[in-house]
Amino acid sequence: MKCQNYLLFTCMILTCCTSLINASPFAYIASPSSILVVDVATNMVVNTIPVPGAHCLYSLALTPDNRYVYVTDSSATQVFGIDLITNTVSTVDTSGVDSNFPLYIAITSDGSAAYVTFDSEAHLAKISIPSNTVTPYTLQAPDDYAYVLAIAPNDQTIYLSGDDETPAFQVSTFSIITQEQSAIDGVGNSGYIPGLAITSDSDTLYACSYGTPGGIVPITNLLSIPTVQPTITINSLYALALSPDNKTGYAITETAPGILSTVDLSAASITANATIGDYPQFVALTGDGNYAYVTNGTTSVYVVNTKTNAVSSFELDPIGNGIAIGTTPPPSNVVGTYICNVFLDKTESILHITWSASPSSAVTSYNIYNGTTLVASVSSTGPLCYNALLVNCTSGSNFSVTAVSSGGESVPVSVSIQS
Amino acid sequence: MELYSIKNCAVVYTLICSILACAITLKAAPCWEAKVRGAAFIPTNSLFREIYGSAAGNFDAEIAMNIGDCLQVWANFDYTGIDGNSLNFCNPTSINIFSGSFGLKAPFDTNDWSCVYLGFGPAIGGIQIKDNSQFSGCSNNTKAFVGFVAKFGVDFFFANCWFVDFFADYTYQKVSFQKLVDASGVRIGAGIGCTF
Repeated sequence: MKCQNYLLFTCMILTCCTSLINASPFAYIASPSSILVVDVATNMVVNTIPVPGAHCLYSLALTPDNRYVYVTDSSATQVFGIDLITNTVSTVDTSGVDSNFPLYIAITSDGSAAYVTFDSEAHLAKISIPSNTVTPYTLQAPDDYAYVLAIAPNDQTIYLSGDDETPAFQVSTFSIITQEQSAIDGVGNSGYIPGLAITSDSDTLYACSYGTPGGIVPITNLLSIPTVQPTITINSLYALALSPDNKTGYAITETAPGILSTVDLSAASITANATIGDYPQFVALTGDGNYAYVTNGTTSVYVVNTKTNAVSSFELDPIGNGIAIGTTPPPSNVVGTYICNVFLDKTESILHITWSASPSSAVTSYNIYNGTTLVASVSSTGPLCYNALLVNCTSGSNFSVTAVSSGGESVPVSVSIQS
Repeated sequence: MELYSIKNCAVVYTLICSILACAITLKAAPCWEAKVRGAAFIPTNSLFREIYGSAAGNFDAEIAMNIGDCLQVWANFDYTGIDGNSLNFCNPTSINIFSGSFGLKAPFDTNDWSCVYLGFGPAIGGIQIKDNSQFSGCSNNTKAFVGFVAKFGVDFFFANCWFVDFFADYTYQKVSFQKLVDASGVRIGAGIGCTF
């Protein structure tokens, strides 16, 4: 049971991360001893990254820039960091943590650190990225272990779930700033909390209360006085993924067959159910929220169209555990230089923007924005530059560049002005 | 063209026209000459040269009339058209300068078959600039200007009434578009003319 829980918690962590991203060209799936890279446009495995020494990889998190994957291995008591550009695998030395069996992992929104919970003792460890320096923390709840964790997008607070034997710590907060832990009371009356999902504004946490009855427990006002709201009943709830607009939840239940329920979070009602494989354990949404990917520890991956509720599947070799869906990697070295286009009767101010290609070969074009306005799209096969006309003395600092692939658009990178 | 410039121009032209009228009145049988000329227009403004090059073709036609032993009145129309490219982005641009001028010039005979002359007069005309910016598209702007012309040349006569003119004129012509355009320059060239 505990092994299954691990997988569930991993799923919830990944859900929190992926609900914040805007595009999703590749899914990264933890397999026992490798990371499988799946092109979500074709649902084909396009790369397999072996992880030497791994035996049971299960919880996986992706940095926002899609550069690194960090994955836990409960049986090997190790954490691995994988550079997705070089496919280099690094073993993180967690010997300083007074606990074995790393469980779940999440990465801060700035990509500077990963946090890992550990089994057998209530421990939390910070892994600095990319140095892999480990800083251990001892949590309150010494008789139990921390389950899943979710990091608020403001990178100030980690939310942790305990188990049913320690009601005061079923959900607790851990301040990244002060390293102090405190409880949020009144979450759940039965079972444990196998999943946590937090909104992009860091103000509402959804705790998955397992059991019968169980369900989604909204905890609002996180930034002021956390308030536990009435439970949205879903029995055997395992994990929850949030839509990009935070209005819809996609919940999976530990049943046979499994169910992916679409939940209107504001109305606290289930609007649709999709039947998927038995005992689903991990769910992740594409950045546009159009597809939910579900794994269940088998060779099958289930893909649910969140608009039509249609279910399809594809096969892996070997099995798939934790899953994270990445964004399109953004371009780097985005630099702008002012250049004048000088005519005899007028002078035009031009911002000459250049950038280095996104590391993803799936990128087909780059979008240039002035504020929120799309001003141009540049093919990835041409020169990676764009000249923007500045009118009315506008500043070039409003410009940004994104990478676009079949899976969506990367986060924007602001233009750095060079004099 | 600014209003005060137009007024100044009108005053100058009225003055010159009065002089010409008096001269014509005083000389019952004026001697005329007409010539056509080609020249290289060499702009004096460095930005002009960078965009349009250091020289361009210029064509003009001029008539003159003796109003005294060493005094002529002249009227001239000239045209300069140049293609160029903007700086840094090499976007196509062209400039057309149309100018009409007239004034007084003083010929001095150096021998039986040649003379040198000096002249000066106001000029009025238009500057048309067409830009084809890759960023803002095509633009076509024309502005009128008032300037002046200073003339220097040597005429070599042959076959009684024909002559060859070698000349160097300086034209002052500035006008404001989005920024001040200095289209001043020197015209160096030659032409052929006849007297009648």
